[in-house]
Amino acid sequence: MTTSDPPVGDIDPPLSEDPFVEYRRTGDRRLRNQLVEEHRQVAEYFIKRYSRRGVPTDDLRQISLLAVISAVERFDPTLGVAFSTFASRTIEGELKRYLRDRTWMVRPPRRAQELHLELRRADEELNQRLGRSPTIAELAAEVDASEDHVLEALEAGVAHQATSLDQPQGGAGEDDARSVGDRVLVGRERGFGDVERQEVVADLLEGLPDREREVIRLRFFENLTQPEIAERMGVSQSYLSRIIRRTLVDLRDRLTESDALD
Amino acid sequence: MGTDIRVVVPAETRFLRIARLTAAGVATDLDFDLRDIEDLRVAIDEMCAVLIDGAEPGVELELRYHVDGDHLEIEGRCDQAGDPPEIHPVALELLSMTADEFGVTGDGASRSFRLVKRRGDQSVG
Repeated sequence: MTTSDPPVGDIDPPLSEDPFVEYRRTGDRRLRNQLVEEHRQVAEYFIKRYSRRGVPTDDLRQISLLAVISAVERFDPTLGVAFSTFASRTIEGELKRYLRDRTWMVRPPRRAQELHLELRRADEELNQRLGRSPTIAELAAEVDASEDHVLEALEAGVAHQATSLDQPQGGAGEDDARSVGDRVLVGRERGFGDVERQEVVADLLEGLPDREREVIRLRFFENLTQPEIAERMGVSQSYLSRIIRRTLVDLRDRLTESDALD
Repeated sequence: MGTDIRVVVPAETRFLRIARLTAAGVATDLDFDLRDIEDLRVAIDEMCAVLIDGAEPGVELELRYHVDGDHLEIEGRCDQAGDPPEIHPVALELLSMTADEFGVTGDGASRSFRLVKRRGDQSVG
């Protein structure tokens, strides 16, 4: 028993400390492994469910094990949710993200850039809310990412400023100028035939409102620059950039839904 | 041949982030894809955790990242007595999923690990 700190209020004695609380406090790796071992069967349901859809079992096992670990690392029993509920949400979220990335052929810079954009928004918001620049820990909590990923995304933001989501790579006007968005829309994936791919893209574009569809067509299929499109459509560049970003996010979400949900 | 990067951190869990981020940075330079980088991050974290388990304050963890062609070899060393602890089944499972080669050894005076991650096959066209 530690006696260095007097108990505050009528809290439970440390003897009955919840193992999750203890892990959050100590970061003890043995305890983490023990908790993961005890609770990992939560993942079995998801592994069965997704393997029926033809997702390789090895991938499912790895992703769900990592998700259980992530859940153990973040679980806060004082919030009143059962661990199994919390872990299920985490596992399902990770599996969906995996399916999404697989489908969209996301290449390394993409996700970091996406997080980078999110971080810029979170930074602005937190600056206002806190009246000062946020810490990495605060940013990570705000966007629900790990501190490592936040650091990396910040790094990616610096390294890839010239290749943000909707900037053509290699400069506009060059024949092979292809944007990251291009790769998102018409990227390549092993085992994913051209015809199927075009069908998926066509279906998704079909579902867009006319204006959004036209913007996406001009931007990613005609390879026009944002200023050119803005001028053609009579809107400001910043407005156009918002349309593009929102539409891409929307497309991605709908693809995730149609692909990952029942 | 190849490039070496050395990093020394105190043998404490909270500094494992430096090990992970360095690994991710080096792997990025090798054009590893995101999946490989995430794997590497998990693998090095688990390896380091085994090495520093039970380390006394003041002990250091020395890491050497060796880049050669399409693979990254990471060696860790921690000067503390005693054989390395047995790797927990969960950690073992993570390592076998994420690393191409891995192993921990102890010589009575120090513990070391070796970890290899190769760049996955990418059909860049």
